[in-house]
Amino acid sequence: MHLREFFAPDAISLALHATEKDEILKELIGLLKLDEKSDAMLYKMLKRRENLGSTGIGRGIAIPHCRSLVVQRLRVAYGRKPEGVDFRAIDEKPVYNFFLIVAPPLEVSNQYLPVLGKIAQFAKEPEVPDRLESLRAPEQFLTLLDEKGA
Amino acid sequence: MHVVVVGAGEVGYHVADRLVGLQHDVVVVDVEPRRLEYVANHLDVAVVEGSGTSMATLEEAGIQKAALLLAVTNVDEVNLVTCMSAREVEALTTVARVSNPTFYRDARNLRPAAFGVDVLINPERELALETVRLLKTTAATDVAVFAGGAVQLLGLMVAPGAPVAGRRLVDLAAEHGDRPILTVAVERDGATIVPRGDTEIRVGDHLFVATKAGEVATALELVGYQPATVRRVMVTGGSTEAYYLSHLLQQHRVQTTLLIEDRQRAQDLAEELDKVLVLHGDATDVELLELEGVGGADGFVALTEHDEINILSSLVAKRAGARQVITLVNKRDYIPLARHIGLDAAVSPRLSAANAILRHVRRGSVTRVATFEGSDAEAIAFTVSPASPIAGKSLAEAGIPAGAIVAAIVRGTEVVVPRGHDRIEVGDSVVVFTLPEAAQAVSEYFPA
Repeated sequence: MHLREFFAPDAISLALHATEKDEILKELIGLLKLDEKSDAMLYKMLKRRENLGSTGIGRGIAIPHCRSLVVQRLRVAYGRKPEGVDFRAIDEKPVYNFFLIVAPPLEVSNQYLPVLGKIAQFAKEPEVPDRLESLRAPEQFLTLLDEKGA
Repeated sequence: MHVVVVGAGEVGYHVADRLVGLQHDVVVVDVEPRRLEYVANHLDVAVVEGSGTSMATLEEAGIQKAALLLAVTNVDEVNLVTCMSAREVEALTTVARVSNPTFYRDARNLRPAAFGVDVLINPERELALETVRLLKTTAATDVAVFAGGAVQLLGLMVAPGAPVAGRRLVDLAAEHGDRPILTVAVERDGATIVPRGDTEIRVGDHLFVATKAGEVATALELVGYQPATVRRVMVTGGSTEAYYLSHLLQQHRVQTTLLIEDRQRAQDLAEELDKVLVLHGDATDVELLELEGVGGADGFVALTEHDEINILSSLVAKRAGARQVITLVNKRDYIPLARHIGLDAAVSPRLSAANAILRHVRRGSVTRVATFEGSDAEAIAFTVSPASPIAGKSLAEAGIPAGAIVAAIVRGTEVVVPRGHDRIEVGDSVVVFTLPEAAQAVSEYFPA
């Protein structure tokens, strides 16, 4: 399994507009290009998850994730906010890199946990935050995944 | 042997209990009179009130005639200073319990010899190692290893539909005669027996099985479990045990999610465990566990400091479909309960500590002792000396006492899970599984 397979170029944003947590979630959801009703349902689920404990795992990284009926297969998105946002992360520091993961409630291939774990490992690699900071185009993000996301 | 135990907490109490059972002469030291009173009322030991860091207290406890000093309070520094105080005592082996990972991280931090410490034990890390062994053997309730892991003693519940269910041991032996797997004990209706050939195995029996490391998968299959690999594990709790376990799983390249309720602790561990997904959240929150995909996990290990929370979250994990659930249980009374309500295995810091300490209590020919939670049985490794009355005899000729069974004979690098015709030779290491009533008779077979 390689992380590269799960990211589409149009689900990557290197300059998120939102400046606070809830809006960031909505903007990330927007990257998946679902319909309006699905967006609302997904937002509700992600909010619920965040209320149980922030998915901001420290070092400027957050991995909002949930299972939801609105997707038929595992979907992921990446968003970057160069100025940082208060996401109530465990280290209480601003978050710059967001990885959204949404999986259907029942998947045959059961990729949810492996992908979640892989993204967490990828994001925690020492040089990855710096590399993410210097990305200039979505394709470069995919190249970084090619290199580090195995 | 005269033993001074400093610290009358869970670990000290349990270790003292085991040492009394091994016929040692034990004095327990603690600063807290209430704890001492409890120990004095429940165990056949002497007690001395005071700090183990004071030589006067240690002298009162008879340190000058002691062969062993066990410093096992829950404060690492007290344990180190206690050993240091007694460093001038001749012919004394000192054991200090030191749990804090930072002591071990850098070799410069801890030079046991400088403190007069002969043996360092780390019960929290022992517990983590035991949990890894349980995860590796998927279905086992207990795992004890001898001869560097070449001999394994597994506790296993007989699953419905298991090939061994409804069969007599004598028939199974005839069928699987070439397989080095031996049932050394059967726990049924709260009693542990050493089985005989005509003992019939039933579904729900708790078996103790001795086998070679390479045959663990076969043993699992016989009691009705499929061998499986561990890829993803969820751990709950911010305890030292949780830290050590997550660290070990990270080294084993197991994808690990660690769920911690305390935010500051979550942050600290997130920084130290670079390949673990550390999340901040409540381990008893059913919704959170489900959202984190506990149902798809190969293992779920509940390691918070609270038994009730561990049992509750383990039940949630089991119901959601986690393949194997391991629960940290401190209270002795909860351990049979945990098994009864369907949890796969319980681990206890007290037991891990006792096993770690007893390993260093060499008495005569004993090289290693393992005890099992919820049972009085012990597995003891002896070295066979020329003085042994059974050296050179076959097991059938030796006449092992009722209530005991030879689980393995280790000769150099060769391991035999024996039958009646196998011989015991001088220099062999012999692993004996024994019930309490046979322990004394067994030790007479293996003089120093």
